[in-house]
Amino acid sequence: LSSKRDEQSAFITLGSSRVFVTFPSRLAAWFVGVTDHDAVGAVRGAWVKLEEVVSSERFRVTGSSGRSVGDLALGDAFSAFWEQVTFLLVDRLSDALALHAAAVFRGPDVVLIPGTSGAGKTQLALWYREQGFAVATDELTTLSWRETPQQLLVGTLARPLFTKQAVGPAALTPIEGLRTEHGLFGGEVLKIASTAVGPPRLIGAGFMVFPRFEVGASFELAALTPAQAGMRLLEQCVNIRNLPRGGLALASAAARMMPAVSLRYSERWQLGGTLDVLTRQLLATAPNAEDLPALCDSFTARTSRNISARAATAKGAEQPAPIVTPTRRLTIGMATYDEYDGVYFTVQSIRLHNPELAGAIEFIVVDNNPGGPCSEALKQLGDWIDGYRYIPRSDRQGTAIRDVVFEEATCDIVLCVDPHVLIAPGALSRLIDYCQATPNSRDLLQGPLVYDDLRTLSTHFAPAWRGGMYGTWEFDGRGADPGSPAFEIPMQGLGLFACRRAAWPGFNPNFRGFGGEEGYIHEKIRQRGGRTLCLPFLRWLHRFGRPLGAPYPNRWEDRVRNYLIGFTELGLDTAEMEAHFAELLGGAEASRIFAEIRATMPLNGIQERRNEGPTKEQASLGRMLPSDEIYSPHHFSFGD
Amino acid sequence: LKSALDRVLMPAPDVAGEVLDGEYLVYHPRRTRAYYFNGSAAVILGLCDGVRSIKDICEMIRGAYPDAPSSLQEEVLATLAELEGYGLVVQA
Repeated sequence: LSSKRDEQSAFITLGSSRVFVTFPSRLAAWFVGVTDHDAVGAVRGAWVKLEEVVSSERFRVTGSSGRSVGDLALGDAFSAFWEQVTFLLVDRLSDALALHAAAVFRGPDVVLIPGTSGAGKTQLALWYREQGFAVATDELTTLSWRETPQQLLVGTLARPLFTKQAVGPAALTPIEGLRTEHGLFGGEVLKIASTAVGPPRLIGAGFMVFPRFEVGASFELAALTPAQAGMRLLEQCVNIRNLPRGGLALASAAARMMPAVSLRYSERWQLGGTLDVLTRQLLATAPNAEDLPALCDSFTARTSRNISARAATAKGAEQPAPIVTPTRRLTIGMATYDEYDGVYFTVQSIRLHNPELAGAIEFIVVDNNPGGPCSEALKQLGDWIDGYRYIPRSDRQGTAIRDVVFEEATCDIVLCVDPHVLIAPGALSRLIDYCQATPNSRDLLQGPLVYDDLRTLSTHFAPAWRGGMYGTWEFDGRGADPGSPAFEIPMQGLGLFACRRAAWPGFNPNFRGFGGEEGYIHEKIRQRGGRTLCLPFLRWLHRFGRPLGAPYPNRWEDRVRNYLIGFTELGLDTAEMEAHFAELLGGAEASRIFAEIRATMPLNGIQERRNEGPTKEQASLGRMLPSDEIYSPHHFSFGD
Repeated sequence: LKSALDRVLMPAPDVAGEVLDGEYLVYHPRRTRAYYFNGSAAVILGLCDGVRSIKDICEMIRGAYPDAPSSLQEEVLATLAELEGYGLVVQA
């Protein structure tokens, strides 16, 4: 920085490119942190001069590009000055991809906001500032390589921000105090401390938002493929002629590294609970190619619902509508028996991968072994999780305990899962949408099981006996595409199922222990006028392996008993079942079990509610199921 | 139609391309323009190797994608005509 009478001079740099600038000393505060002290002494080549016409509060801008403009107010003079500086910097830049893009940082993480003038970059950058990000630039960002090791560097042009409209106070808290008007429509020039000069920096995580601000437009987020993102980056490249292969390699590398979305918005409120959540999510965890579109769809749908609610409120009250905060729309319940890890990961996975539903889900965890080793931890987990309810219940044990989820649910839509199930991102929002579109449904809603290879699916159970279980895994091609419509299936494993609370028929209260519910509950739904539907989007993984064994007894007697009670209740023929168990267990053993069960079971199974669970003594007396069968994906009972 | 199918095309020599998740990003230096190709167009462009005829390309795609629409041949021809128009492929 050098002085000559009432002028000062300095260099402004962008990567390897620099421009010599001169400006009035009284405006030096506007250049603090913007000019590059390391460049003092560098050879002056390109230059731009901002000078004040003596005593007139008017300014003139001249430069080495030959352009000269005069008689400007301060804000407009800044605009012309930076336009020339930017042109000269970019014109000489050949070792970095220069993008017409804003950039905001939080620590090492960056959000790039590429877009043409008027796309809403500056407003979006200021909105990110409210979310705790530092605005590095609203105009020009560079991408370059550090060769060893090969890493992407992000550079930014430190300059004041130029808005096309006056900015509300929320965006400028705290404000450094430098602002002046420019343009014909109340635009402002804002000096923000975080726009400080510095060398290009290595980044941690990155995310790219391609905004399009449109007055009156509805909110829309759409995932971009890497090639689409790369294309959009090149569209915003301002030095494409200077770069080998048009900067294709750099644009492609950035597109591979950083997930990207297109954003259409018209109001700042649309960004709350949507873009902020998505940004946090993407900077924390790199999404796969399927997650990002599902997340974007969910956020778009959520904002669409808010718009409807706002419009309805405004019409009714004839006053500006408040932003609608979501109420609980879905109860997700699970019953557990000494399985803290399963509950933890199932619940937290749902929260982590469905941020658009924050505040909209009620979690019900039914502890079927109160006082057990996991009970306190299961209860304390609720201290961390919004909408979490811990319910200790031992009056029923085993399969039928899941009725408690429906009894305790406060939402109309209830999803019951095993506490070792993971759900595909976006599936829950689509389930809510589906249920809201079918408000009087009496159907049982299920979806394809996804195997551990994340490719193989089972859409349903075929009604056949195998390995002591009614139902064999099958795949129907109609479930291959998550976007396909729902279709009817005979039955499905009960690791995940949803039903309207009012339509839930309940398990037979005399069920004891585990097994026997598949086929039974599906037929019960049918007998009450409902169907079992496969919703192809409602995909779920089930942890089958239990190398440490199940913490509860799993006995043939309970399973056979439940089948017998269930079939009897529904008036189904038991001959095929009895033949199957005779073949499986041996005729004499099966006859003994059936005789003992028939001697004690109620006639239709619905008068009695047992208040006893499997004790260690009972477990040691009963015949245990072979674990290699029970946990095989093709024979597994989800009622464990 | 027969002569059109017998033509052999290849990428223009100065065109640069990057494959990203099965899609193509292409830059044409003389036009200083970038082009984005979805997966289908990327397959077609990738098969233009200066040896295969357009007919060969259609048969290869039909073999790999048996469910491709019956209009496959017309769509391949239309796509390649567009690519030629952009200067991205040339006669081998």
